[in-house]
Amino acid sequence: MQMEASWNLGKLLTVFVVVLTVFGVLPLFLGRFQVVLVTEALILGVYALSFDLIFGYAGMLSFGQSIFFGVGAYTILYSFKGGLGLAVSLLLAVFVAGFFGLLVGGAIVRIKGAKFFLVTLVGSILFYLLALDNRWLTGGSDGMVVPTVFPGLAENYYLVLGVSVTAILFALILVRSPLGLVLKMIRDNERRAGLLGYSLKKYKVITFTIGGGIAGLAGGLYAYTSGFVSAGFFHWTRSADAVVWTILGGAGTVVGPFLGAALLTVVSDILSAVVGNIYPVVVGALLVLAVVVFPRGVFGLLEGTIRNWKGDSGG
Amino acid sequence: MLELRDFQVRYGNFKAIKNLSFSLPSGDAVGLTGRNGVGKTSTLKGIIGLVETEGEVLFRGEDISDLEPHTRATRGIGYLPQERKVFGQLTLEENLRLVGEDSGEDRIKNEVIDLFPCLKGLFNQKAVNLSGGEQTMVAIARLLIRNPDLLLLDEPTEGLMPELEEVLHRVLEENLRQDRSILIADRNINYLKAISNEVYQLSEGLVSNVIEG
Amino acid sequence: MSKLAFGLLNGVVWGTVLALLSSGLNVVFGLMGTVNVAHGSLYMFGAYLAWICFSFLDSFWLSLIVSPLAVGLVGVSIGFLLKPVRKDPILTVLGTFGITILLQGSTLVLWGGTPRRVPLPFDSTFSLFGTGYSFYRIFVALVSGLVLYCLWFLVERTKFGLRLRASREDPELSSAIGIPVFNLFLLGFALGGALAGLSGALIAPLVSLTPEMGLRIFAIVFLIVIIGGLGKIWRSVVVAIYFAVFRGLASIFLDSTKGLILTFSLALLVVLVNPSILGRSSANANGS
Repeated sequence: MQMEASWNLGKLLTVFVVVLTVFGVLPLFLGRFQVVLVTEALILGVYALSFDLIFGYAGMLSFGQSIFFGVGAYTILYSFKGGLGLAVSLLLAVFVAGFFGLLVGGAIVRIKGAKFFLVTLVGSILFYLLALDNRWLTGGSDGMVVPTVFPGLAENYYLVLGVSVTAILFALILVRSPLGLVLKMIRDNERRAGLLGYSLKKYKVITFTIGGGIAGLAGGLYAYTSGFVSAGFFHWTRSADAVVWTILGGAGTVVGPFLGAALLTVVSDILSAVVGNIYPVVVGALLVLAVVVFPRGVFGLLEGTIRNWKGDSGG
Repeated sequence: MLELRDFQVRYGNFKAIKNLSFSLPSGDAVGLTGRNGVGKTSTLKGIIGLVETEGEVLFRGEDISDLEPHTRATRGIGYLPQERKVFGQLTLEENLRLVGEDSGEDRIKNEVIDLFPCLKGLFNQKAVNLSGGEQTMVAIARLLIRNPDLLLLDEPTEGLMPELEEVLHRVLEENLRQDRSILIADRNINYLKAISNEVYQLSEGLVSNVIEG
Repeated sequence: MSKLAFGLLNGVVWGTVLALLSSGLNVVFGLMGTVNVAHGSLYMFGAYLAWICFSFLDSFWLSLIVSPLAVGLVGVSIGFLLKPVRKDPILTVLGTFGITILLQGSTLVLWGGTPRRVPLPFDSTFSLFGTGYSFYRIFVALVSGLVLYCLWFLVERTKFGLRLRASREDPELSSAIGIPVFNLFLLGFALGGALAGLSGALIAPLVSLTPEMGLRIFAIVFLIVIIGGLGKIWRSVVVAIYFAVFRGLASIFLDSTKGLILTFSLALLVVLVNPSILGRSSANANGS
C-alpha cells in the first residue's frame, strides 16, 4: 500500500506549477456549485492528508482524526468569538489541534497494530460523546454559528486553495526530509528502525502531532467556510471518511488523499442524486475491493499506468 | 517413498536451498547435516509444505508440492519440528488426542506409557508446565501415533537425555524395519551415521558431500 | 433502592448478551489474530433479521433460528473474502471495516434510518420491588447463559474445540500435524457470526434498531475482548458482565450518555495503563 513517489524535485515542481495554474483559473470556467464542490474537496483533501501522514508514512492506523478536526473547528469558533483575526485563528487551530495530537499520541504511542486502531476508535467515540454532552461548550448536535465575516465555500475558494497548497508543500517537504525518511523506515520495518537506534516513540508522537495539527487546520477551514460547527464534527464517521479517502486515493502519497477526497466527494454527490444513501454501500464495497485486490489505491493505479506509458521498467 | 527433484526453497530473494535432488526408498534413512542456518530446517519445512518450494516433491510417486501441509500430514508424513514444539496451553493428553483416532484413546495412552514410563502421572498437566525433556517425549509420541510412513525429524537429539536418545534410536530402527522412511536433520554427523544409510552434507544450498552411514 | 436493583439486573442481562457477542469475536480474534471489525454489523444484521421476521413473517421466535444461521453464513463469506489478507492485521482491519460500511449502508438503503422497534414477544412481568420486571429479560439472560455453556463445552470438551485451540496457539504446527487450519478458520467465522446474529436477535426487543448500532457496539466488544485477553473467551465473559453492570449503574446515577462516557473512559484507562493486558500479541508476525 506504499507508493514511493519517485519523481525528482524538478519534475514535481513543474507539475505543481501547472496544476496550480489550472486551479487558479478554474473558477472562471466553472459554475458556482462546482466551485463549492472543489473548495470542499480541497479542505477535505487536507484533512485526508493528515491521516495519510500518520498512516501512509508512519504506518499507524488511527481512527482518531475526527478528534483533531473537531478541535480545530471549535478553536476557530472561540477564536473568532474572542475577536481574533482569520490568520491568527487558523494558526491557533493548528496549534491547539496539534497540541491535542501531542497529548493523544503520547498516551497511545506504545500500542501496536489492531489495538491501536481500537484505542483511536474508542477515543474518537469518547470525544464525540463528550462534545454531545457538553452543550454549553459545543452546542451539542445542534451546534453553534461561527461568526465568519465572509462565509461560503465558493467565496473562499482562493483562501482555501492557498491554505491547501501550503499544506501540500509542507507535506511534500516533510516526507522528503530526514524526518520523513525515518518515518518511512519505521513504517516498512519497525524492528530494523529500532535496532538502528531510532526512538520509535518520539517519531511517532511527532507525526501524530503534525497530523493532528493539519487535521485541525482542515476542521478550522471547514468551520470557517460553512459558518457552523457542531458535535457532529467529532463523529467517528469523519474519521472513517479520512481513512476511506486516503486508502482509495492511495496511501503513502501526498496527492492520493486529495484525489480520494475529491473523487469520493463528487461520487457521493452524484450518487445521492440517483439513489439516496447508496454512497456508503459503494464506498464499503470499494474499500473491500481495494484491500483485497488493489491495495495501492487509485493513485497507485494511475502511477502504474503512467509508468507503463512512459515505458519505465516495472516498480 | 520420497523423492526430491530440483527442489528449491526461497525466502523472498534469498534461495536457502538452490537445488536438491535425491530419493529415499522405503525402509531407508537419510541424514541432512551442516552448520546452523544452512537449510536443513528449510528442507524439512518444504517437504511438509510450511514454506514455498519449487521443483517436485514426490511422496509414494505422487507430486505433493501443491498440497496443503495438513493434507500431506494426513497422507502419512510425520513432522517433528525443531525445539520440540508442543502446544503449551493444552494438556499432555490433549496434545496427543489432537492426532489420535477417536477410538482407542486408552490404547494410545498405554502405548505412550510403555515407551516413556516417566510420563505416567502427567497426562493432565498443561504442556507448558512440563520439563524440556518431557515435552520432547510428548512431541515424539505425537509423531508416532499415526504411524506415518515418512518421518521428518529436525534436530531430535537437541537437549535429549542419553536414555531417551536410546529409546528414540530403538523406535527409529523399528520403523525402518517396518519399511517406513526417515529423514533426519541434525548437526551431529556421528548420530546421523549411526542411524542413516547416507548423510548429505549441505552447504550454500546444495549437497556438498555424501557420507556413507 | 429499586432503581439500584433494576440497574443491576439490567446490567447482568445486558452483560450476558455482551458476553455472547464478545465470545463470538474472540473465537475469530483468538483463532488467528484476525480482527473482524464487521462483528458489530453482524450483530446489527441479526437484530434486523429479527425485526424482519416479526414484521413480515409474524414470528419473532423464528429469528432465533434464522439469525444465527444467516449471519453465520455471512461470517463464512467474510472469512473467505479475506483469505488473501488474513495474515496482515492492518489489511484485515481495513477490509472488515469496509464490510462494516457495506452492511451498515445496505441496511440504511433497505430499511431506512428511522429506528425500528420489535415488541416484546411476551408481556409477562414479575413483581420486583413493587414494579414489574420483564420476564423476557430473564429469558434473554438464560438463553445467553445456556449458549455460553454450550460454547464452553464445544471449545473445551470436544475434538473440534481442541483443534480450534491448537490452531489458535500455533497455526503452523497445527497444519503440519494434520489439522486443516483454514477450514477451521472458516468454521470459526461461522461460529462467531452465528453468535453475533443470535445476540442481535435476542436483544432486538429491548433496544431500538438503527444501522449504526453495529459499530458502536463493536468498540465496546473489542474493548472487552482486549481487557479480558485475546482469545481468552471466559475471561472476556467476566469482563463483559462487569462492564455492563458498571454501565448500568453509572447510567442510573448519572445519565445515559455520561454513563457511557464514564464506562468508556475507565475501560480505555485500563487498556492504556496496563500494557500487559495488551500482551499476547497477534498470533502472526508481520510478514517482512
